[in-house]
Amino acid sequence: MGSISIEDMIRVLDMEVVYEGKSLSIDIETSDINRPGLQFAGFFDYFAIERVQVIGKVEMTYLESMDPETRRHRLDRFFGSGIPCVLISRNMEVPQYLVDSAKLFGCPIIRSRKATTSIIHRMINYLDSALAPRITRHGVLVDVYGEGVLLMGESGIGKSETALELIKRGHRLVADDAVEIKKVAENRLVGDAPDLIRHYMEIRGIGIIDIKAMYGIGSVINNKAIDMVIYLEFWDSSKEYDRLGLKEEYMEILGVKLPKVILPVRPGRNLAIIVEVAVRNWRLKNMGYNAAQELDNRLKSMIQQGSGGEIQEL
Amino acid sequence: MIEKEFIIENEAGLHARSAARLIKEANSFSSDINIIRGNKTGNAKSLLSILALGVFKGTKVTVRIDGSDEIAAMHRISQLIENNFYEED
Repeated sequence: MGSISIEDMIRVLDMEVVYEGKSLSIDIETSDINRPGLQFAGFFDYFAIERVQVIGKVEMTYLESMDPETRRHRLDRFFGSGIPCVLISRNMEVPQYLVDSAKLFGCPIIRSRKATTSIIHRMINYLDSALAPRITRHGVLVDVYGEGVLLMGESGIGKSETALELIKRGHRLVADDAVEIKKVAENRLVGDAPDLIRHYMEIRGIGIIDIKAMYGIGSVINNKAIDMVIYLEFWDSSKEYDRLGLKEEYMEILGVKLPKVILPVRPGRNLAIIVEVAVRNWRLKNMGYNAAQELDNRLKSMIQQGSGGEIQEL
Repeated sequence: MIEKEFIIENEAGLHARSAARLIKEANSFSSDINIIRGNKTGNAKSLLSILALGVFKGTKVTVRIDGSDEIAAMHRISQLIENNFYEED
C-alpha cells in the first residue's frame, strides 16, 4: 500500500481547507474512514486513529448538545490521538471550539459541500484507487473483443507490430512499451499508459507514431482491466509447446493470478490472428466450453462404445 | 545484478534523441537493463518506456543491469551518461 497526501485529496475531491494545521502534506495510508460518534461519547477503545475522521450532521448535532467542559475534554483527547485530519461534510459551519481543539495539536480540518454518505463514497473510491499497489511492466496492453490482453515478451519480438495489426483489425490500444498496472481489488488489475506516452507507439524502422491521430478515437482506450497475458517468445525447437490446450498456465502480477498463453513466434505466423483466436478460445473456456476437453470427451465415449461392442462401420 | 546511481546533467534531460542513443547502446547487450526514477522503472531497451520516465536535468536515476554482460553494459552506459549522451551544446 502506498500513501497519499491530504493536499492531493483536497485538490481531486474539490474540498476546502478550514484550518491548515501543521502541514497538509500529511500522508493518508488507508482508504477506511471513521465517524467519530462513539469517541465523542467518550468511548476510545479500538479508535482507528490512522483514518480520516468524518463529521456529519449527527456528530455535529451531538457535539452541540454536549456541555462545554466534557466536550472540550473529549475533543482534546480526539485530536490529541494523532488522527491525520478531520473532514466536515455538508458545508456545515465549523464551530470555534472545534478549531480551537484542532489548533492545540495542529490537526487539519477540511470541508466538503457534499452530503456525508456521498463524500464518504467518493473518498473511499478515490483513496482505494490512489493507494492501490502499482507496478510498471514492459509490454503492450490491448483490448481484444473487450478483454484486456497484456502482450509480453523480449524486446524486439514483435509485440508492437502484433498490436498494430490488432488495431488495424478493429481492436484498441491501451499502452505500448510501458504499462502501469494498478491492483484495484483483490483479483483485479487495471492497466494504463504513463501520461507522457499515452497512445504513442514505437515501430522499429518508422519511429514513434501516434495511434489516436492515425487510426482515430475508436482505436484507443485509456485504461482497461487485464484479463490475460499472452507471452511471445522465439520458437525454441527443443521446447514442447502446448498442442492440446488442456493445461492452463498462469502468471502472477501483484499477487493476482492471470491466465497466460505462450505463443512461439516464427516467420509466417500471423500473430494478430493467433492472439484473436487465443482470446476467443479463452472466452469460450470462461463460458464453460473447452474445445480440447470436448474433443477428449467425445473420443473417450467412442472408445467406451467401441470396447463394449463392435465398432460400427459406415 | 549491478546498480549505479547517476545525476542526469545534460540540458534537455532524457529527451527523444538522447534516449534513442541510450536504447541503442542498451540493445547491444543481452542483459536486462532498467532505469529507475523514484518509484518508476523503465526498460532501457524500449524508447517509449524511457521517455515515460520524464527524466530532466538534475534528475537522479538508478541504472540496474542484470545478466551475463552486465559489467561491459554498465561501463558503456556510464560513459554515455557521464558524457551527456555525446550531445553538442
